[in-house]
Amino acid sequence: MYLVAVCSCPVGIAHTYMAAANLKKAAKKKGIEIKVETQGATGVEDEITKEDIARADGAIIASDVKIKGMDRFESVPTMSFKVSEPIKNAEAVIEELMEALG
Amino acid sequence: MNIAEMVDERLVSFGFEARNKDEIFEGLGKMMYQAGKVTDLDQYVKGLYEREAEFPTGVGNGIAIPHCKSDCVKEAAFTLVKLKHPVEWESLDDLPVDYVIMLAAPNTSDNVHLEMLSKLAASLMDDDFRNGLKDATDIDQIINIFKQKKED
Repeated sequence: MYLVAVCSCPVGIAHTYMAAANLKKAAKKKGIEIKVETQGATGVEDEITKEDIARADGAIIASDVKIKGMDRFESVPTMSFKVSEPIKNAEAVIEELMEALG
Repeated sequence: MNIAEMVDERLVSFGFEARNKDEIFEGLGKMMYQAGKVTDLDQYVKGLYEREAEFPTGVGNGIAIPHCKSDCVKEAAFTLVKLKHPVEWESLDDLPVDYVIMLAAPNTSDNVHLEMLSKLAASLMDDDFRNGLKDATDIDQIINIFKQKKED
């Protein structure tokens, strides 16, 4: 199982990085590999590449703003969340995607 | 750079008295202004409210991170303020807030300090880090907690 995610928020200094930290923590706990791209005030970090997409089983978008490069995820089952949802409960976010993937 | 270098004792309090969010925005905004981190108090506080209106910054576990990125911010800064009494904040876990980390971010390309603010926010998701910070009773303890925080 390999998941990719993108986090973004209005100001781009706090929530983006809290959501990313929690997704990584929850994935580690569940023994799932995840790569989380952050689109913040300082730019894009850990960008999800074509290679990542080709290998990904599913994608999580955690954002309250339009993310850059949404079209990248057309070929992957993708679920969108508010950026606050993984901050509140990242395990539930991952579980919701896993259930949808079946 | 380590976030410990950004801890400013003028922005730290271990028993701030406030009855509500408004008094916190005003009081902590004033701390930012008096420490020279922001040049226009009204504009900064207005920015806090505008961001807060998007969705409340109570992130759970008693912590709130009101923030504003603005031209009126001279240099990146954060408060570490323990409240004397918990206040209502429409938090993600519906619990009241007793610790406020107010962030001030300049509208510059000074990415090093902005990254520090983001790292601080991410660190709050670490139970040990967050609990240590909330339990700290003096500046030296806070500095140690920051220094000990392992890079992910």
